[in-house]
Amino acid sequence: MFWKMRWLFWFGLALLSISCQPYTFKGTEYPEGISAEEFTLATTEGRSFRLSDQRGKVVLMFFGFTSCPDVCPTTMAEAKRILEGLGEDTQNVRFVFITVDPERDTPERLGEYVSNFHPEIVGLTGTSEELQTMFDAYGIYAAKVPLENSAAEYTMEHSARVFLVDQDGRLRLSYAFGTPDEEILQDVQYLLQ
Amino acid sequence: MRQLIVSTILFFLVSLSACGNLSSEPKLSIEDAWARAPAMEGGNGAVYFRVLNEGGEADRLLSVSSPVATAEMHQTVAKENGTMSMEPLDAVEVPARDEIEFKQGGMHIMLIGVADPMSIGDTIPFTLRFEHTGNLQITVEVRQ
Repeated sequence: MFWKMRWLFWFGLALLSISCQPYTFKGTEYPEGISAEEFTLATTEGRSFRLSDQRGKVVLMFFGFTSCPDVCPTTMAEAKRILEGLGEDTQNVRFVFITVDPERDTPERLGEYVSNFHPEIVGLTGTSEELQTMFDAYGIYAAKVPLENSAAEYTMEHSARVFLVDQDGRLRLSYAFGTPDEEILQDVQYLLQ
Repeated sequence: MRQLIVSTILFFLVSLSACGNLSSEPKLSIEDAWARAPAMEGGNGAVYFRVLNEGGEADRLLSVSSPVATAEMHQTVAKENGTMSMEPLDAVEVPARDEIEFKQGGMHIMLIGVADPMSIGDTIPFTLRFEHTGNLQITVEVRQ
């Protein structure tokens, strides 16, 4: 009887220690308390998108361009899987795709591009100056690189991380290109608890 | 005596099979080929696959083509601070008894200005031109 009780005690203690372990974020963490820089850009429907208006939602941000054949569609396919994985919680998340190539990415083109992946993904654009101000605030690098002897004419070299702003408007996490979508989904689901 | 005959036959069989592997010609096959459809009409897509070379000599992939769009060989390159860039590739070596992979975030075929819409499950024809092997015709399945 005593041995049984002792076994039960240790088993319970082990369970307790597992369940009390703090959650470890999969993304690269920023120190808590960093307020995400405010920005206002235009949606593909011409509406104004202000970051502070998204309070209460988790905002995931990716910077790319619609002519990009590899990195951007790979990340957008991940965005689709993240939003699908969220189920009803999709309404508490905004995934935004911010163009680094406003020269080619007209609002129409950008809108068609993002909606092909998921109807809830928001395409954002602005003037070159508005976009550059936003890039500077978030440390985003974007530069036009000519491609000689290519029908593509030029490509955009750009930061390919996904940034996460939490419900309180704090820049909390970022993810390197190629981070499995399940890991980003887990972090988002944890923040939404 | 009988044992000696069996051993001799076995020796020659093993030697012959070894000679086969030492073939001085590339022996190529294409595996896991798939295309990501462009997200919009007239947009760009990408094609990915593996090239296996079971032969004893290297080969080089010189160019790719498809009737659906202009196709070019490119490579995604990771730079500092999570910045990604893309560079054209002139040719890609396939070493002897080895394989190379065109994959997301790495080497890929860029389809430029795909005019006709592609649907998931469609197949598109592709030609890979190698220095020694010549043209290899493949069909590529469209996925998302």
